[in-house]
Amino acid sequence: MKSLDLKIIALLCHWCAYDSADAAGRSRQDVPPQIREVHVRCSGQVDPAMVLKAFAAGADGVMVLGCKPGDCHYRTGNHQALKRMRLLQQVMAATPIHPQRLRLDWVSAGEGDRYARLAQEMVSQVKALGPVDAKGGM
Amino acid sequence: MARIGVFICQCGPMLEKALDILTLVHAARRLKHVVHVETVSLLCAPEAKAALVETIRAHAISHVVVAACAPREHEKTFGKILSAAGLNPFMLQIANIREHCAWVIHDRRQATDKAGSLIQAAVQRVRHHQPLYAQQIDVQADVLVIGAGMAGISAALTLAQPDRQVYLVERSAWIGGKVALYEDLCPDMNCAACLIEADLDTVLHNDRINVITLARVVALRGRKGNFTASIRQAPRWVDTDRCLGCAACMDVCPVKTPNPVNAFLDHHPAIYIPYPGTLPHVAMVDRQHCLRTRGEPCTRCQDACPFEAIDYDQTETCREVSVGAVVVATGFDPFDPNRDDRYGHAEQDNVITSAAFERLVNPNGPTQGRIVTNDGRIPQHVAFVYCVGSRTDAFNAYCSGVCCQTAIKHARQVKRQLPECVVDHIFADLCLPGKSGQRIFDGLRTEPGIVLHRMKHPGSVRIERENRTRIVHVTGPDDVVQQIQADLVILATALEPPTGTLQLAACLNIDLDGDGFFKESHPITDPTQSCREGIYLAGCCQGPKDIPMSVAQGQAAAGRILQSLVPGGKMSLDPIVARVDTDLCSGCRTCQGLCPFGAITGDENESTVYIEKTLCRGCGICAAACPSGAIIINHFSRDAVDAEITGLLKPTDGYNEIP
Repeated sequence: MKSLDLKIIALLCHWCAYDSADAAGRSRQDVPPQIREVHVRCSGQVDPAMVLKAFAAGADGVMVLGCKPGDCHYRTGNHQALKRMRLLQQVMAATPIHPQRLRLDWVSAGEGDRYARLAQEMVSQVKALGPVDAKGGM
Repeated sequence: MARIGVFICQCGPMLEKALDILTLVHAARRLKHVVHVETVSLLCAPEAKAALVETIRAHAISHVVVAACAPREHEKTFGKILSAAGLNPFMLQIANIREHCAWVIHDRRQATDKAGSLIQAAVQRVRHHQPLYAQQIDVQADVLVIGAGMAGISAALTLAQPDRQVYLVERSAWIGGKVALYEDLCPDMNCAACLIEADLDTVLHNDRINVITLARVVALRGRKGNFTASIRQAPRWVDTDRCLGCAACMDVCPVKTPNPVNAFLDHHPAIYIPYPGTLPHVAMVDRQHCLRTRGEPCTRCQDACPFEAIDYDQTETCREVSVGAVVVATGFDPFDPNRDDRYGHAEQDNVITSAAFERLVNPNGPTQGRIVTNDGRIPQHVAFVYCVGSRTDAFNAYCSGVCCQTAIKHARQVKRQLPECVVDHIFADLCLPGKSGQRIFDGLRTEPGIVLHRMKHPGSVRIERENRTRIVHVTGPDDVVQQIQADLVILATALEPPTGTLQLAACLNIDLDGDGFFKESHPITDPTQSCREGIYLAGCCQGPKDIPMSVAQGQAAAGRILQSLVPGGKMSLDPIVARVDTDLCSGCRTCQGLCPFGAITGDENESTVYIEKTLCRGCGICAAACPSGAIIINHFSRDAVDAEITGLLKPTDGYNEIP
C-alpha cells in the first residue's frame, strides 16, 4: 500500500479549526491529500465512538482540532475533548490501533499555516506507523 | 426516497485547472440516490442561482449537494436558493472542493481524488438531513442593569424607552458610582458634578427606571428574552419616600466611625448621607456600627427626625423581576496598596491612593477640598507614584490604562490650588493613548514645578517615613537609587475586578478572564456580550477603561438589547440544538453537569432529561457524553457525521458499490 492511499479523518470544530482549514486554502498552503476534513460543531461533540467508527471504517489516523484553550465558543468543549481523547488514547494503547493514530490539537481560525503544518505532521506520524491493516493491526 | 441533486461549481476558471471536473461528474452520477448532476461555471452568479431554482423543481430534487467553495462563503446563499425552490434550507450539504482540495493540493489527480471523496461523503451525509425550522418565541423587553456607575447609568438611560422598564440595581446607597465622588474629569478638568448630576437626576425621576439601591442580584434563571432575576435589598432603616436628607439625624447620632466614602480620611455617624449631594439624597443607617445592632435601645435619630422617616423595622427584602436581558456594569475596585509594604501605606498618614485624593480635593470631601497633610500642613512637595499594582506579576500583569491620566489630573489639581508646590512624578512608562493623550503629556512637561523621574520597573520604589515627611526611594533605569522627599505621596493604583465578581459570575453563570474581569463573548468581535447570550457587559467590570469608553460600552450594550428585544416582539431560535430521544434516555443525567449553558434539566425520579432549546446552543458536548446515544444534535446527528466519515473513507473508484 502506498502512503498516498492513507486516509486521515480531520474532525474540525465549527468556530476555529474548520476556518483554519479554509484559511490554509485561501493562502494556498500545502495540505497533504490524505487529510479528509469533517465539519463538527465543537471538539466537545467528538465522542470516542465517533473516532473508533472512523478507524473501523478504514481511517489510518484521526485528527481532532478545536479552538485554543480559553477560546472555546462553548466555554468547555475543548476541555471535554482533551479529557476524552486522552482517555481514548489510553484505551487504544491496549488495542492493535496505535494511540499515535489519534491526535488532538488546537488552532485559531486565521491560522492556515498552522493547520497545514498540523496536517503535515499528522501525515508523517501516520506514515511512520503505516496503514492500519485489514486485521486491525499496528 | 431521496432524490439528490449534485451541483459542481467551477468557480469561474479556477477549479478546472486544479480538478478534473468531468471525472467528478461521472463519479457523482454513479452515486446512489443521485438523480441529477451538473457543472456550473459560477453557481453564485445571479443567472446561475435562478437556474438552480428551476433545476431543483424540474427534477423534483429533495436533497442538494453543492461542490464549491467553503460553507462560510455561500452556504447561506444556497440555503436561500433551496427555500426559493420550495425546499427546507437544511436539505443542503456543501462539499468544500475549493479551499480543501483545489487550493491546497497541487497535484491534479490527487486533488480530484479527494474532491471525489468529499462529494461522495456529502451525498451520503445529506440523506440524513431533516428539515429544520427556526422557532419564534415571545420576548420580555424589560432589562436588568447591575451597577449604577457611569456604564450602568448610560445603559439604563439608553434603554428607558416606551414599553420598557429598567431595573437598576446598585450595591451601594447611591447612584453615580465612583465618578460621583470625583471633582474634575480628564482630560479637560471638566466639573464632574456638572456633567453627571443631570443624568443622575433623570435616572431617579424617570418612570421607566426602577432604582434599587443597597441591593444585589442573587439568582438568575432562564435565557435571553425570558430571564427571572432575584434581587435582595438590604434594609436602610430609612423610608426613602419620607426622608428629605435634612441631616437632623446625623447631628444627634452618638457614633463616629471611619468613613469609607472619604477613603477613611474622616468619620461619619452611624446614620448618615454618604456625601453631600448624594443621589438619592436620603440618609441610611450603617447597621454594622449602629448602637441598636449591639442591642442598645438608642432611638436618637428617630426622635430627631422631623419627617418620621426612620424605620428600625425594615428588614431585608427579596423580589423577583422578569427581564429579557441583563447588563452587568459593576465597575472596579482600586488596588489596595496595603498588600505591598513597599508603599508604606499601612501607616496611612500622608501616603494616600488616587481614590483618597479624589475626596481630599473635593469641596464635599473631608477637608472641604483643601489639599493638606494629615496634620493639617500645606504640602510643599507632593509625589505621585505610578503603576501601583499594575504591570507587575506580583499583582496585576495588565496596564490599568487610566491611572496615568488620573495622576496627571491630580497633579494639575495640586498646582491649581498650590502653585508653589513641587510635584514629582515617579513612573516607569506613561500610558497616554487616544486623541487627548499627547496634549495631556505636553501640558505636564511644560508646567513649572513639575519634576519627572523614571523608575526601572513598575514598583521600583520604597516609601519610608522620616519625621513628618516621606522619603520615596526610587530605583532608576540605570539602577541608581535616588531619594525624593515629599509631604504627601499619592499612589496611582490599579483598577481591579470589584469584590463580589466571583459570586456574581457564579450567579449569572458567566465566565471570568484570567485577570478576574468578566469575559466577553469575543474580545474583538463581540466585546459587549458575556459568554451567555442576553447578558451584556459594560464598563470596568469587563476590563479597565476610562469614562468615555465605559459610557460607550453601556450605550452599546443597550443598543444590542434595543435591537434584539423589541417590546411585544418575537425572537428567532437557532434550530441547530440538541434533542433527547426519550425512549433511549435512561435519566442518568451525565449530560446535565456537562452542559455549559444549564440547558439540561431532569430529576432523579424521572427516566429522561429535558433540553431547553432556548438555552441550548447545539455544541454537542452532551451528545458526546451520553452513554446510550440518546441525544441528537440537529443537523449534526451521529448518523449524519458517521455517514460523512464513511463516505470519505470508501474508495473513490468504487462508487457503484455504495449501498
